[in-house]
Amino acid sequence: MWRVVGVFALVGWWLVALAPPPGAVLASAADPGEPGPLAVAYAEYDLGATAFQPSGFPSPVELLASVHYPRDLTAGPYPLLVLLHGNHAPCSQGDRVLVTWPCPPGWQPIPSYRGYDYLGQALASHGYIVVSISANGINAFSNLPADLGASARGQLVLRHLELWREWTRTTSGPFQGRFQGKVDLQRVGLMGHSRGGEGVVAAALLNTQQRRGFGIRAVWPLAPTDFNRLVLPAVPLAVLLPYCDGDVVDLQGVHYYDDARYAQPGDRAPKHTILVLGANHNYYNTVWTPGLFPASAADDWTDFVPNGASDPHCGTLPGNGRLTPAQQRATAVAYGAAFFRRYVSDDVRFAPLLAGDAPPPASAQTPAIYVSYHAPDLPLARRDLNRYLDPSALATSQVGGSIHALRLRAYSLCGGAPPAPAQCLAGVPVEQQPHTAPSLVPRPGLSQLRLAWGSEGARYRLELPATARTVAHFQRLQFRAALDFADASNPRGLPQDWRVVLTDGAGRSSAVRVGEHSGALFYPPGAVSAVPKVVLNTVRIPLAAFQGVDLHDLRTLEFVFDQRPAGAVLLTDLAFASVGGPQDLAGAAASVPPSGQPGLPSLVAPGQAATVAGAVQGSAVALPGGVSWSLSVPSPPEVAAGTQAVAVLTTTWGVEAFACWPAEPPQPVRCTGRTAGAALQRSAATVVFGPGLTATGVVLGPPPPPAPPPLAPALPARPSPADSPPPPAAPAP
Amino acid sequence: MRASLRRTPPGRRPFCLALALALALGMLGPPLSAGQEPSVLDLYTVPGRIVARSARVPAPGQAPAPLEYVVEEVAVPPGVDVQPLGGPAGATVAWRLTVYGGPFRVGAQPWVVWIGDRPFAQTYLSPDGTALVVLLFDRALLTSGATVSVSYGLAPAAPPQRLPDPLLLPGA
Repeated sequence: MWRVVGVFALVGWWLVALAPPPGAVLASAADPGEPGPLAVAYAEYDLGATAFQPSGFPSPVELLASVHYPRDLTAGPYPLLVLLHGNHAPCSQGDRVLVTWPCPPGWQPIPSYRGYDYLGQALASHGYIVVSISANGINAFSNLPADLGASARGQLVLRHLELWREWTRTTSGPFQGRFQGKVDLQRVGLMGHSRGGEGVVAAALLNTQQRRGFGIRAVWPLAPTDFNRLVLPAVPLAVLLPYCDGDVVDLQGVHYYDDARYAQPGDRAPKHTILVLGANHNYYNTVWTPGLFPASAADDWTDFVPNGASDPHCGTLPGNGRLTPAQQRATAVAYGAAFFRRYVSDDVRFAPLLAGDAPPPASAQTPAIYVSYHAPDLPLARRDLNRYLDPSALATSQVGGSIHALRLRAYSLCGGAPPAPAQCLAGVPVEQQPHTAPSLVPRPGLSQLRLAWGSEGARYRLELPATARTVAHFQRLQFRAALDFADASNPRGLPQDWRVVLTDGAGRSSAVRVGEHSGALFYPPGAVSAVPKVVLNTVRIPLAAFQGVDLHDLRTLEFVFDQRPAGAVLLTDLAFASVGGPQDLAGAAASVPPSGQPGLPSLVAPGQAATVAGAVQGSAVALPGGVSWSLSVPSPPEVAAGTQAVAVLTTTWGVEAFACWPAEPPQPVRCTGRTAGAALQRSAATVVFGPGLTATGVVLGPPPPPAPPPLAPALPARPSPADSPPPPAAPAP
Repeated sequence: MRASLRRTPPGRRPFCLALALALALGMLGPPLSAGQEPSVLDLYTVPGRIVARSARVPAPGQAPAPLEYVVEEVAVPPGVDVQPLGGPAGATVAWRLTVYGGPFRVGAQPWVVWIGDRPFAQTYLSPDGTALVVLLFDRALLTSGATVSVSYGLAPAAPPQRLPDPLLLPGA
């Protein structure tokens, strides 16, 4: 059952100035990894080593966590972020470890949960309450349940969220009211490292399945395991993949992205992967980093991978590509902060970074980061041209047009369900093919197109049928791709490249070279054992780069393989797309210029009403502490059923937005919601359906003051813009 | 991730292996004491009846050589639900395959015991990391003559370690 989310985004005027024009290549407007402005305080709570018994788990576990939070809580409530570590020995005595729980006398619990203090500090300074929870009790026995502890970890996360619900409502608990009214449990983000990654995915699923009611808005599995092939749709997702991971050596966590892409029709939640070259598994946790804790772990790459130290990229030879532990942590801070600020706090500035349209920020300390981006399944946010899910995708596109493979050396599907081969790179070990790595639960991997060429005239062409020729409202053409390093036609160490050609109905063509806009076609580094790996990253080409073609009448899309004499690549997820969100309030607000008469509110006292006239019509009533709106707009023909528009208003608080009801053409779209401020006099009430598709009305009001009693009865005149009264002097609520 | 167990100098191995056995057996836990609620964890600790063992496993009380195995039949204590371990409701008996060796270190992946080409990832790691224990609720899974091997994860970077002796069960 869909419901209006009763939240509103408040976006400052300065943010409007940063609104990305469709198709533009943007530098990131802000560096998400820079420390925030707030002073940070620290606390812990410990309710006992056996305080919680997860269902289906063989023993009770601890309720222990650290808390980083803004020292001054008066501006709260603040969103809550929960961090969950992975599998490590639970107990230590000096540098010796013991695998049991609770720790026997003389042994100390290992504080794996403190290994993300650096993240907690950074995120709290931006206005988050960051809770990092201990899971030693689960680690002691997590391999005993069939799911290897995923459900128990998810239950543990939800138990902590329940505690915080109690502590934000009452003065009970260890903080005795310190956080009462200061925690926004409708704005929750989860990060899990390693097995914790699978745990936070399980938590988000349990939250939905069991109707726990927490507003989990973002889930970030970091170097995660995915033993159970859990599928998490409808929640924004970012999977961080360390290329030199020697523990989860097959980067199986990429399945979370792959499996969720098309799992739920209409899924509004964007998905991301963040591939960090040179990063290993353990250095994201300081307690697991050698030298930073007595019972730490090793460098998993050199410890687990046979001859790993000799690898030119992941090893320890001079000139290698490895990141230091501090550099690794910097990548987590930069991209973790961007992800949570984007989706938990609706900060649209970081959308280009997460989509790969902006380079890694300086704070990440490395340029060698590649991302994938899956846009929301909304008609105005993504139009799939080919999902490559079954053999029909070789001949017919997702939009129904025919496909032509001309002079290609290889052209077939791989990696998905039979009869396609389970692995795309024949003879290459599975740990070098993450998208098709096996899991405990047997499932097919990512279905991909394997395409190779070696002669002149090689091309791959999609015909666009009449229903799919208008693409001007999308920002980019995008696809995921990786170079097939097992094919000798790809020169070792060199990137691949080809041209994309769009042709319109008048026969005009425009070509763009992929390498001009993306580095995703790099030759994957490494030569020893588990590397090189094939990881698909998203290529995004601005449609604005295709000069001279009519984007309202495209007829064909071609890949022309004329930049290298030969090559072989893996492809999937070919689409036109825009950057958006599940309810992209901030994004919509940022796309609408402020309007109206600054400082002149249309409503000043509770009970006063205003009207909206124009393409958007409706009314507003001032309430104590806000304004209630009821708007209506005809459904544009381009809008499909289920599209969720956003209403944007310029108020005394800035530009505010709230979500409309899903469109049900031909019925008008209804938008009901609240703003904190009063709309400015003669400001615009704009309903944003998607990039470049809006409808606008004008806010009129309040009605003129009552005239002196007439001598004869008369109908009251409807106020017009021309006879609006002068603004009252009183401040807006 | 995984934690490093400190390497043992070769000269101290006999002592340490004896200690390891004591830990592996002793820290797997004593039999239930009176009044203690039975737990599914007890299945890894209660004494069992030895059904088979590899040739070089010494008698109880002596140190096992690395990568040896013991198979025991274990009675499921009344009231213990083995379903969290993947067992059937109402199971009264289990077969316990213990592989000695290691140290098996703690990390993201499970240690997987393979019987032939069949993997078993639900492994109990002894507190000191020197024994992996798999509980089976179907004796037919113990294929006599099959090789036994151990790997870190299902898709390990390093090849699985194969035990010297195959699984040999009486009456097979």
